[in-house]
Amino acid sequence: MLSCRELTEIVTDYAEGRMSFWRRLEVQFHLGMCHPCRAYLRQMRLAAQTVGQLPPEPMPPDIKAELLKRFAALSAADAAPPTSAPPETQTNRTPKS
Amino acid sequence: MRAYYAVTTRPPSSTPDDDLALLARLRGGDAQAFATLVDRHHGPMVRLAQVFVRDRAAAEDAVQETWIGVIAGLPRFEPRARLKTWIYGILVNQARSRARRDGRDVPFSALVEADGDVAAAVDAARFKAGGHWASPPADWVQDTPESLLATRGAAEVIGAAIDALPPAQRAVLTLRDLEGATSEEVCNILEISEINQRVLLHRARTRVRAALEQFLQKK
Repeated sequence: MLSCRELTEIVTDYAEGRMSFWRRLEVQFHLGMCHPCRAYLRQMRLAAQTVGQLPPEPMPPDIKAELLKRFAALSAADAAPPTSAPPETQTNRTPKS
Repeated sequence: MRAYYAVTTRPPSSTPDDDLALLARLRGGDAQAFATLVDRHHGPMVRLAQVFVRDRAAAEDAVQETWIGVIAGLPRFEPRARLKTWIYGILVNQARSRARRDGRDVPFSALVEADGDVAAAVDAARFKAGGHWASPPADWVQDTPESLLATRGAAEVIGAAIDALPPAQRAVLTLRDLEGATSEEVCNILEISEINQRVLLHRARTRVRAALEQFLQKK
C-alpha cells in the first residue's frame, strides 16, 4: 500500500504521466481516500501554475530600442528574402552573430 | 481524474502553426511582433542565462547577443525546430561562451551531476512511522494562481524561491513553468535526458511549494 510519504516523492511522475498503469491506479486509489495528499498534489500544481503567471519582466527600454534598430536595419536590407537557403543554414541551433 | 490532478495543464505557449505565422511577421519586418516576442521571453531568458554566467549583467548581455543572433539568423531559420527551442538553444550557446570568456565554463551536464539535492520532498518529521501524515499540509485559502498572486508578498516569495534553487533545477523550472516549454523542448534545449529533466523539475517544484507553504502559514 502506497504511503503518503512515498506519494510526495512521485507526484511529479504522476502529473507528467510517467507511470505504469498499475502504479497510476495505486496513486489514484490513495488520492481518492486521502484528503491531505489531494491537498499536497493541488499545491504542487498550483505552485507550478503560479510560477507561469508571475508578472512579466519586460526588457529594459534602452536595450530593446537598440535591438529594434538592428531589426529594422535587417528588414530593410532583406526586403526580398532569398527563396533558397544557402547550405550552411542546416544548423538551426547555432547561427553565429 | 487525471486532468483534474495534472500539474502540467498549461498548454504550450504556441503551436507550430503560430510559429509559422510569427515567423512570417518577423521576416516581413513587423517590429511590433519582434518587440512583443522580446518582452515575453525576457524574464525567463535572463533567469536561464544566469544559470551559466557570473551575474545578472552578464546574463542580460547574453540575452542581447542572443537576439542579435536571432535577427541575423531569421532569414535562414528553417521551421523544423520550434522557434522557441531555436531561440533558447542560441541563448544557451551565448551564455556558455560568455561564461568561457569569464573563465567559468560549466557544461550543463556537470550542473546536473552537481545537483546533490537528496532532501526528501517533505521533511520526514511530518510523517508517522508508517509513512502517513502526522503534520498534513493545510488547505490553502488561495487556491488559484490569481488569488495567490493577489496575496501581498507571494510573487516575491516565489521569485526568491526560484533564485535560491540549485542551478540545474532553476534552469528546468524556468523553462518548464516560467517559459511554458514542454518536457521534450527542455530536454532538447538543455541536452538532458527525460528522466533527469523530471527529477530536477520535481525537486524544483517541491521547493517552490514548500516556500509558499511556509509563507502562507505565517500570514
